[in-house]
Amino acid sequence: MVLETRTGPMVYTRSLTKQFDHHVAVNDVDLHIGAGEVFGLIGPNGAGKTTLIRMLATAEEPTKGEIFIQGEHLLRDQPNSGIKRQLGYLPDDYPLYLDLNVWDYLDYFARLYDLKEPLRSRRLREVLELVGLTQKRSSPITTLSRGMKQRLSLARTVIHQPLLLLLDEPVSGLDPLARLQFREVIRALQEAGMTILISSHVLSDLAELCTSVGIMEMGFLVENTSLKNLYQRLSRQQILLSTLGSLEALEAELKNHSSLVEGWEVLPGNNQVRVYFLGSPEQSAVLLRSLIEAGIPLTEFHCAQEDLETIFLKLDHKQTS
Amino acid sequence: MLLTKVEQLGNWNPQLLRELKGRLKFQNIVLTVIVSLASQCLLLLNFWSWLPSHESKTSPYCTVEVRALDNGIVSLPKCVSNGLGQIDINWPLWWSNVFQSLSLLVPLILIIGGAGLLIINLVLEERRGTLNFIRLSPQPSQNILLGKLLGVPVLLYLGIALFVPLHLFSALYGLVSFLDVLDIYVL
Repeated sequence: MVLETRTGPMVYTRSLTKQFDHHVAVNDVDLHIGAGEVFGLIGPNGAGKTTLIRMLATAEEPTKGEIFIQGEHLLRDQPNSGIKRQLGYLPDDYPLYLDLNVWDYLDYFARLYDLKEPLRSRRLREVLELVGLTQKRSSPITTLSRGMKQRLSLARTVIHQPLLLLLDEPVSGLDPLARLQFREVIRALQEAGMTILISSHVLSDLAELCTSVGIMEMGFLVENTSLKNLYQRLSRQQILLSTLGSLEALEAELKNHSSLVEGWEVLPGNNQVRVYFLGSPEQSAVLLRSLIEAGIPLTEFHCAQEDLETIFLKLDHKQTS
Repeated sequence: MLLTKVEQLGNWNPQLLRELKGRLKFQNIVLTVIVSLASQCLLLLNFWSWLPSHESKTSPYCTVEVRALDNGIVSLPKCVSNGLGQIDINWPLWWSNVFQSLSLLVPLILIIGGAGLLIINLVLEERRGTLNFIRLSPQPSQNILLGKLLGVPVLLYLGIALFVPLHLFSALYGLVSFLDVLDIYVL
């Protein structure tokens, strides 16, 4: 299954604002998500992520501003049927109909989106295979585990092959195995050409999946950039060193490279040091060579970048709206 | 054949098919049939209790006789017996009253019960968050509403449908005119 996508932004909002009485949940947001991207939306609870997603999903009317989905203007107080067919929305509580079985549940939504036979049965089989629930097709929904229910909800969200997938906290409350399975499904959907917006507090998952991120704080979108750009701007390079010798000798040698070494911290335990490094990969190779030549008995020399979680905490975007 | 009909129904109104699939399950149908038949039995038992017995002095369903006594006063009213010693019961009146009660009760149950079930269903869907999914689908709201109207009270419709034979039977033995019966069904 590969979807056809047009070039240009999949999502574009202009001065998007949502106010509930005196409370501004989303404030003047200009969002830009390119076609085929996996966009991670992060921010503290109450920052306005869910409201923003609900507006994009047409579940909420904006107070002010405009939304364009694949260049098409979302009109207020209109059915917007054409746009709705392009959207798949999975809310954080993924409600289900517990009186139906898996197949009937998906069949119902396929019919709501006007999928006719034989396409409908084919799509049902495809999405069940995609989310790994083929064996459970006749099972009542009440008998499914939390992870299975989550994947069934995702299957429902993609049954009509939307171009834009809006996932609000899709992995909250899932165990590590269920999260891994969920990530694999998201990757498959990305490969199929869907544009995906995910809000999540599990930043390690977002770092693995996303191509770009947005950070919300107090209803404002304070960052809207590619993940690569974010890492380039804000992630410090780290080198993890372990030695069999004394830490003093290692630290003395690091002081000789003060132009490239911003600082270091000694980690508790096995003579490990985390070095904050400013140089290029070539310069890190020079550092390694000089440490060996200085007779430091290194057992580990591992280059890494600060992860998304560290960057987010460093940015100090902790204000709710 | 049945599958084709289900397929056609689902294509015409997906919401109706969903409601039927969720409700028309074996145990639900059995329970509905039991409740409906038990309600009919209770209604008939209630009317049965109004029939005269040898001990009872009077009843709306017997011919009452009042005798003038010698001292100028009259006796208490009493049901008249036929030549075989059995009390003469006005069965057409009894069945006609059963018919009238059913004609009043059934639409009342249908309207109050149907509206109640719809409201409960919509409140539950709203609370669970599933109503949002229906709203976000490209289906026209009229289709959804029609599906809900026909589908949500389907077990109530079934229970009421089981009253129809008793209703028609009571009309027949209550000597109710065909036009009166037709009026009720048209209404």
